[in-house]
Amino acid sequence: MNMISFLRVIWARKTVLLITIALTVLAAIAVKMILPPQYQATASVIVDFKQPDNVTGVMLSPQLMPGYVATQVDVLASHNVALKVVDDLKLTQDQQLRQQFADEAKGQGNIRDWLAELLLKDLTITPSRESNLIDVSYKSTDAESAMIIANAFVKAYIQTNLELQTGPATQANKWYESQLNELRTHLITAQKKLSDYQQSKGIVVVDEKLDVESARLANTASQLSLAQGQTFDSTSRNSRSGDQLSDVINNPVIQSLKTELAKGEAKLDQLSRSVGKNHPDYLRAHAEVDALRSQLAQETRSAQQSVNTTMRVAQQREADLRNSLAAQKEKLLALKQNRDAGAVLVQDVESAQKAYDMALQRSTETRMASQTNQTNITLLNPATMPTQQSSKGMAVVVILALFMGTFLGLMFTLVAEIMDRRIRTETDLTDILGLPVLVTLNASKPIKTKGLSGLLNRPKPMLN
Amino acid sequence: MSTPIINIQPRTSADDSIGNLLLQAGKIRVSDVQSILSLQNTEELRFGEAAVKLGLVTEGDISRVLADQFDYTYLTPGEGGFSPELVCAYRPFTQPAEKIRMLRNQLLSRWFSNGKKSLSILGAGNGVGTSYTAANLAVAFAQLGQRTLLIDANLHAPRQHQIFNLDNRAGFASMLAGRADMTSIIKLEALSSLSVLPSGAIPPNPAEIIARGMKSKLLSDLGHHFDIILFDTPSFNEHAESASLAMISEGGILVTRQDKTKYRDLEQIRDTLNGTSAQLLGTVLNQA
Repeated sequence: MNMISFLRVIWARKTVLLITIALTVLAAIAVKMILPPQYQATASVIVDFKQPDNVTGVMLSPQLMPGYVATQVDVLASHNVALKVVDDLKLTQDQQLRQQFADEAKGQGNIRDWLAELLLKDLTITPSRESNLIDVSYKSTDAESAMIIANAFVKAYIQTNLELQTGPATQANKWYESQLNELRTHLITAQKKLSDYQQSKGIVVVDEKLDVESARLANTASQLSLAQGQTFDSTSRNSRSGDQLSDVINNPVIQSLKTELAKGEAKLDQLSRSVGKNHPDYLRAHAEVDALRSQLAQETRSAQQSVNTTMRVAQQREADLRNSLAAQKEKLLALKQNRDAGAVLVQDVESAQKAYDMALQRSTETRMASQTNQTNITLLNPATMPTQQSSKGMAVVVILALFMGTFLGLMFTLVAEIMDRRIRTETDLTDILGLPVLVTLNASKPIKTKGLSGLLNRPKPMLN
Repeated sequence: MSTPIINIQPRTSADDSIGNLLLQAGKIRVSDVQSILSLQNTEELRFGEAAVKLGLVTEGDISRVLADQFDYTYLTPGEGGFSPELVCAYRPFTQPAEKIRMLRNQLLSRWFSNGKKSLSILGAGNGVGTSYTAANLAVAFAQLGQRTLLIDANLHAPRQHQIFNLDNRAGFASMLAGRADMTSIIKLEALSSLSVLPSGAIPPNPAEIIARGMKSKLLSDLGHHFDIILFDTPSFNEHAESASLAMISEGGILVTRQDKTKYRDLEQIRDTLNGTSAQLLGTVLNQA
């Protein structure tokens, strides 16, 4: 079917087309006349999902953003929100609506649900394409109720949104609270074990004690090495014979005695040569020398004794130190063992503490989140009382109906043609039969004749 | 193309100048001739134009006389008492008549020049213009000087006797039934060389009558007297005899009407005639 055929089809079946158009336009006009005027009130809200969450500070991930507004639109148009509006406006108490419900639903279902669905029918939600504004429009035959219901919807939506936010948080909070008790018990048990242990072992702070004891051990060890040095020294000094001892030799008393003795002996010697042995001087000198000698021997002995005593004392001390070192070592080993056992307990306490702290933090966060009254939904424009009808004017309706009718009419025309195809052009004929169209006859139109001038254009007639 | 068998013999007259013809037709008197001739000489006009200028004759008179001069028969309105549908006879200078002449010439070159004599005018439905086409085509062939016979084979709703204003007591049906002979063929006075055989009284069983009586002998007998034999047929899809007529005359043209003829009908006609001895030469698309 080429263009010419198509136009011819339309022309041939113009009655169908015109009747369809006429009926459509008439129907549109009738509907427009019959229907009461409609008013539309629009409120707009901003859904600000680019802000971090006001409790946790978490940003919405960019992958979720495209779906976010769409979700909000679906939430807005949900039965749940509509139910809130029904309850908020106390629509169930409206006598007229109750009557309508009784008539329509015949006692089936619940009036709240029925009303909610009724409200949703006239609700239009338009998310803005570029921004995150959402328009909430409600159409009604009454301007004031359109405004009230639109605003009620926004209010219910914000409340629902809040519930959707706090609901999961409350759930989580409950769980964390229950966990907290358990964790606290854990922590207390661990700490009790640790303190019991410390008490039983008499350890206050295991590690500090250990440090002191190790210091003490180191100290004892160094003292021991010193004592050993002294012992060695005194022993080596003691290894020589009595008067050879340096202590004896170096003793100033002995040295002065020896000098005096030498002097006495020299005097005695002189006297022996000058006087006899029975000379009183000699005897005196002799007695002096003897006295000196015995004094020297005594001093020497006492010096020797002191050296011995020193050596013994040193040896004694060394032995003591050795013992105390061994004891200290044992003590330390025992301490180390205790500490290792204690360390496990300390670890237990620490891990319990950590778990408890974390749970405590999350529980605090969730509690705050569950008690928040902040949403990321902001009411930008509340709906105002519509002053003009939202329904289109008569002229627009007629024009739309004309378009619609033309479209429908063309459809019907084509359907009619397909059901009953007729010959429209020469092409159709040649297509079907494969025969030439010898001639097309058409309605009488006089030929634009050159008539006479053409026919008379001939040699002059011979009249004679 | 083989040599046509058509022999057009224009009437040759000793004096067929326009003045003479006007005189013969009684449109001007002898006394007028002198004044016309003097005007013709002074203004260098043709005789006819001068006569018109003097108001002695109308342009219609002139074209009528010219048609006679060229041996072209046509009728003035009302002459012969035929239906005004005969455009070729009454309004030969209009477009519809021109179209019929185009069709005539096509048929001459495609069909009759090959020694064929008969042709069925088939109609794809009622009211597509079969009778109109057949009648005007017959007139056009007659105007060519061919001995033409138009047979009204539509025994359901015959129309040719109305178009040509004829008595329909005897005709094609009675001839087939053997109750009449060639004498029921009516030779028209007003249109020379055209004869019409009307349908005759309508029988109850047209299909059987035609199937029984329509022999090739009848056609060949008619062929001795006529150069061209045209059949006007009933609606093809409704009546069986149209196909028989098309087969007997061996050829046919199909008249269709724009916006009325259905695809289905055409396909049916094509399938019916496919493989038979009837040859469809072409179609006529009636846009009126």
